[in-house]
Amino acid sequence: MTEQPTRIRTKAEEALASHFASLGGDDPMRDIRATAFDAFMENGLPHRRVEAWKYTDLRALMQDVPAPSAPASHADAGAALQAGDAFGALDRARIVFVNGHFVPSLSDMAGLADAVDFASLGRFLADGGAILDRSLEPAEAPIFALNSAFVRDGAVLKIRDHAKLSRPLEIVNLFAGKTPGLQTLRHQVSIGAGVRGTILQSFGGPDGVAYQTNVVTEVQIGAGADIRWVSVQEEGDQAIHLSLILPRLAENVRFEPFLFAAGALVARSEIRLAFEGEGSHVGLAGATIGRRKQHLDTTLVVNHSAPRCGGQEYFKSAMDGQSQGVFQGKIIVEPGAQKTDSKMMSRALLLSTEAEFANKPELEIFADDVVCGHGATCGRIDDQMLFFLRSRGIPKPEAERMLVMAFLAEAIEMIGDEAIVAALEERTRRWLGMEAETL
Amino acid sequence: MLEIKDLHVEVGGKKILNGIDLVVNDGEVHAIMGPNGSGKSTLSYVLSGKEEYEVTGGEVTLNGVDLLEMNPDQRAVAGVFLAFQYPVEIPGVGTMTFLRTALNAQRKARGEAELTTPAFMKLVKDTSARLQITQDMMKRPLNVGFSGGEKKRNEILQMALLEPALCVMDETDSGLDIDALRIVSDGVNALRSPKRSFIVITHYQRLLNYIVPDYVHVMSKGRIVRSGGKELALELEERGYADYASEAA
Repeated sequence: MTEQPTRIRTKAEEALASHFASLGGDDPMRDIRATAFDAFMENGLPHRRVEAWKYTDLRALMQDVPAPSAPASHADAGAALQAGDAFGALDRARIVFVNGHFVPSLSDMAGLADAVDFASLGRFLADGGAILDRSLEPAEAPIFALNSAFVRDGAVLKIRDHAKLSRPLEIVNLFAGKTPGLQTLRHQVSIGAGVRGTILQSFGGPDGVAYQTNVVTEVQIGAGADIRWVSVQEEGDQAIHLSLILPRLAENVRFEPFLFAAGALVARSEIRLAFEGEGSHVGLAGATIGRRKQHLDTTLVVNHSAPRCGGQEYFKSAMDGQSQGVFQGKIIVEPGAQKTDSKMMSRALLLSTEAEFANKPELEIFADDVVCGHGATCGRIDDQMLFFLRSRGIPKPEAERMLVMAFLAEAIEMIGDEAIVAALEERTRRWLGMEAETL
Repeated sequence: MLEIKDLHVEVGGKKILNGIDLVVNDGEVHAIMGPNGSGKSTLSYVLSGKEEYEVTGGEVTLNGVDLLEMNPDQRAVAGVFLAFQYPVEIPGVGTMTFLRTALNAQRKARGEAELTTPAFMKLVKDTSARLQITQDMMKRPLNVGFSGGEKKRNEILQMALLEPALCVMDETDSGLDIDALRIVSDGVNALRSPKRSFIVITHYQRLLNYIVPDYVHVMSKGRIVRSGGKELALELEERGYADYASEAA
């Protein structure tokens, strides 16, 4: 690569360069990785003068980068799975990654053998058969470029045409142990035509450990498939979490992703969704809980390139302490994408005077026969509701938690699956410091 | 016993109550009537501790305890219950969850054991049946999609479950048809007891045919300008409030 003498590398960029230089020399993916890493270093960590990162200045927020994480001990991995059980008692199959490495002994694919083919990406990487540069040009996305440079493992999933998943399938991403590390995962999910089912993703790790997660999830969805997708980010309180989900939809797909974010010190969850066939519909929703000094960013880029597709985006955030929330939603309607119907809403509740929320809706419409709308609100807890609850003897902190819960539940209920909604509402109550629901 | 002495209240710098004196003994029902803008609803909010009402003078005690020093949830624990003119809809908070949280919060604050789930369910089932509240209503979020009558019945249900010492009913009859009025009134009458007192705020005499008061007071310009027995309500019904010019008028 050519050095740019005008740009001074940050400490984190120096660390990344040093970690990259230390990667194994006989890697069959070396050229792809080097191309990706060079593309990243060209611009370095994104900062506030890069429009897509205006409110999440990684150059300031990412002070350092730990070395790529080693696999966890069996005991640590098992303990991490116990601690980070985002979906509770929900019956589901699990593919478990700890510190960025597949752990077969903790995984359970029972009941899905007829529908799903699974391999770990690590195997393809080792024999040079992995495809890492298909979805995006590395220069388009720093998370993606770093991912290609450092990725060690991930799930390669193929769900066969017309399969009905008998139970949800969860991709578990955990960090274990007390030594900070960088875990880099790439999941490649190919969903066949007409498939119906639920895919879950969860992220968790210990508090007090400055580990980092970089995860790219590529999702190819075949014609007529009906997919619910729920991602739960509950990383440890010092973690940096960078996630990029890249769904590509064929025709007549129904795709309903939900993003729950409550963990990490700094997190960016970005979805870049492309409608590639006609008549598909996406219902994208999410709930974010920010506390203390957390910085939580949700960024959507929804690209309508085919006609007669619909998109509904509905996000709710409750920000307390000195937390900062970001919602960026960009809807692009390309010239041929007539009859697009797209609506986007982001509502934030600020629970303290120091919490902040940045709402940035962007519409880029190049077709003339479309319906596109967006709305964004920032507000406080409703005084009338609070007074009503208190007038019945409910103390203020508990009444406030009930109202925050109610506010977030409205988004969570959009998941539409009773057991998953119950599990996430339970998690929300836990994050808000409420007692378990007993009715 | 509720004692209100020379109560002065402002909202946003505007004087609303200008020296209210009222004593409500245990077991009594006092009706407060008066034209719009006379301060009736303000009195109900001040008693229950709503924040934007600034007490600039006077005292309010319930069984000797100073209410004005307490916040709304403490007042509820002390026995004050406000039946709202417009019960608030709270999407996302289940009616049952709300009832149980309120009941147990009060029990906890009084040092009593929380109700078990079966005991709570039975209590709610029995009480709601008396008020003709369907199980379907109980499954919905609090007051969301409830008709006017359903909201008021839900208020009475809360009153019955929380067993307050002082019930303040703010225009409970507004928006009720005759049938709903009867159900609500029957619910209230069932709660009358020598230990419980009521302040019933209303525009119309009609409600007082069902909930028969011991005393009737007329408010005007932030004061009680006349007090009497239940026959005073009939007189007002006949003559109107013309004699008691409203501040807003």
